[in-house]
Amino acid sequence: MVGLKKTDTEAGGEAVVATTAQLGSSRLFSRGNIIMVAVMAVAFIFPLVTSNAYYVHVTTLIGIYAILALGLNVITGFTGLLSFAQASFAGVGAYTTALLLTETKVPYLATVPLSIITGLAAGLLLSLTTLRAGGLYFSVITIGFNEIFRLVALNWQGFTGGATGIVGIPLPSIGPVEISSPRQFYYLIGAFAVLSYLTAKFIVNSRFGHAIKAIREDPIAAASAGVNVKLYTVLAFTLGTGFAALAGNLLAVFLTTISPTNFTTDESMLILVMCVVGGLGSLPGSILGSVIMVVAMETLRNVYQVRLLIIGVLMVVMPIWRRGGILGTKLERRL
Amino acid sequence: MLWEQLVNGIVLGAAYALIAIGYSIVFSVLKMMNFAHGDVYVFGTFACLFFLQTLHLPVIVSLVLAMGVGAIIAAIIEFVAYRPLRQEEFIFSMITVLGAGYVVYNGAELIWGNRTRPFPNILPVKNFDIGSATVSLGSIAVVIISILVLVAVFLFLKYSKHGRAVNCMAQDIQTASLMGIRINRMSSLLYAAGGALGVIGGVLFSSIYNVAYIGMAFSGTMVAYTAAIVGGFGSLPGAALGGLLIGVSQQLFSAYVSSAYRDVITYVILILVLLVRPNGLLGKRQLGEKV
Repeated sequence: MVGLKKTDTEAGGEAVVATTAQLGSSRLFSRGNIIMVAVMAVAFIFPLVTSNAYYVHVTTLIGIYAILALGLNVITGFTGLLSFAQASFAGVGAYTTALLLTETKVPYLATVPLSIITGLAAGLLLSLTTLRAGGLYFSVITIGFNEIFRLVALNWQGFTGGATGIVGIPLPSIGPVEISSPRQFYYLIGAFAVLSYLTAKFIVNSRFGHAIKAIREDPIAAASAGVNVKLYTVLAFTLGTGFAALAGNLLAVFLTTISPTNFTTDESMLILVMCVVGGLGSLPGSILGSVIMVVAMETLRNVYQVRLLIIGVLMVVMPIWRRGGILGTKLERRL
Repeated sequence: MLWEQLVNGIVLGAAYALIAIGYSIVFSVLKMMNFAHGDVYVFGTFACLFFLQTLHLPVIVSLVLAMGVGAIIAAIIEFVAYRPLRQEEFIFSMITVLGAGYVVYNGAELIWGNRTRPFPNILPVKNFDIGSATVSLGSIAVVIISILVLVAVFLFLKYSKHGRAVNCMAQDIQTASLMGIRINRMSSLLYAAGGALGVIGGVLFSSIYNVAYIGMAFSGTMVAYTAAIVGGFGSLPGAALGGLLIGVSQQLFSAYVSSAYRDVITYVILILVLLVRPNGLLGKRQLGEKV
């Protein structure tokens, strides 16, 4: 849509860059894939060598944010729709999970698809009704959606528990194994993060992925090449919200208590910052972005009085220092 | 009762209209969401409080100084965060401006703390009756100030050289640049104007409710985003109308339906208006809208 546009020549050049880089990464033993496997291997060993539960906790949190950022990158980086509602879809998934686990006897593994389905349904509802507004209009509507979600969660006492939220969410168990230690959570969430990465990679490298990238570059050209712009943007947005709902599901069982403060518009902004800092349109970039931002937020916890100030400076300096995000520019320079 | 709520709504809407105009002037010309707007006007409102209470300056002087503070901070944000990325995709400058807004917000928090402060009543308190409603002179003053400021902005945009330059930029920045308009200088001006207008709105808002708190950055800016879109992209009268509409409906909704969901009505209006009129109430067809 009109979301992220450059002048025509620039966009054309970028399309070439995107296709070439993307062809490069679809080979099995490309440099990018080898680095990703190495990163995953390090991540796999990490909790075995460290005895510090806090580090494991923070890394687990990175996994959850990485899933959120991957989903948002499909929406913003690959389709060009600017969304500020990613946290609210995590909220939809989290509340679904929390309510299912506390009010019913549904086993944990069943809540995963169920929360993804509710997230997808919410994403479909929002995009179907309001995507025709297009461009910045749509972006403002997503802010509105996030706020409506937060206010409803805050005020619908009987259903969502109001400001205190839902507490005492039971620990998840997979078959006979109850997930309770930080290390177990790490592997559970890590597995889902890897799965999300592979899914996102599959989506953006598929025929559908080429179509949404074409829409990002130029909707008219995409339409004249036979891409159903409306259908594909709705689908891309909905798919991206599915990732968020999965992250919400994991967040609910990981924190065992959720409240509206977990799903504010600020949180959505933070996820967007992760995507931009890491590089829009780069899936490893989303992971790097979530590592940087979560580590920054956590290290600054002790100096909470100036935390926002430092984060703010970081947000000003990073995009100016590396236009297009850390991994975004590297991708372009490779040509 | 209804009349009184309606009058209160119009007064609130008048303050919102100023905040929305300050936001929309940047939004409609530079085509980017100025996420620092709320932080700037809250900083300015607190600065006004400081001038009034600590320095004991007269009301008008305090307000003008506070507007200056808002304008300077906004211009600095333009220079530091917006200008280096002006020619990139707008999402990058939006992130940097959001970051700069965080810095301003945190700065205000460090200087003045994050508790709610009483705001002195700078408006006249005399009451009189219009029909069945009791109206304070202060309310009328708020509405009159808003109207005067709005008229001044429109006259400036329509008849001054700089105003025409702004209109030219709103149509096409590249062409404007080729015509010899100094884009950088004009962007500073727009940011500064937006900041100053926001501060007037913020000060009026605070004096209506007699409180100033750091959280009004967010709620006020949300109203401004919504008002700018509801009114129509690129239409300043539209933004003012949007602010007024939101003020009145918030007031009526919280009086008759539910005050907890008061802010929800803002977004419901947004979605309803866009479903019926995708280009906003007074908006022209959006440039670049296609397929």
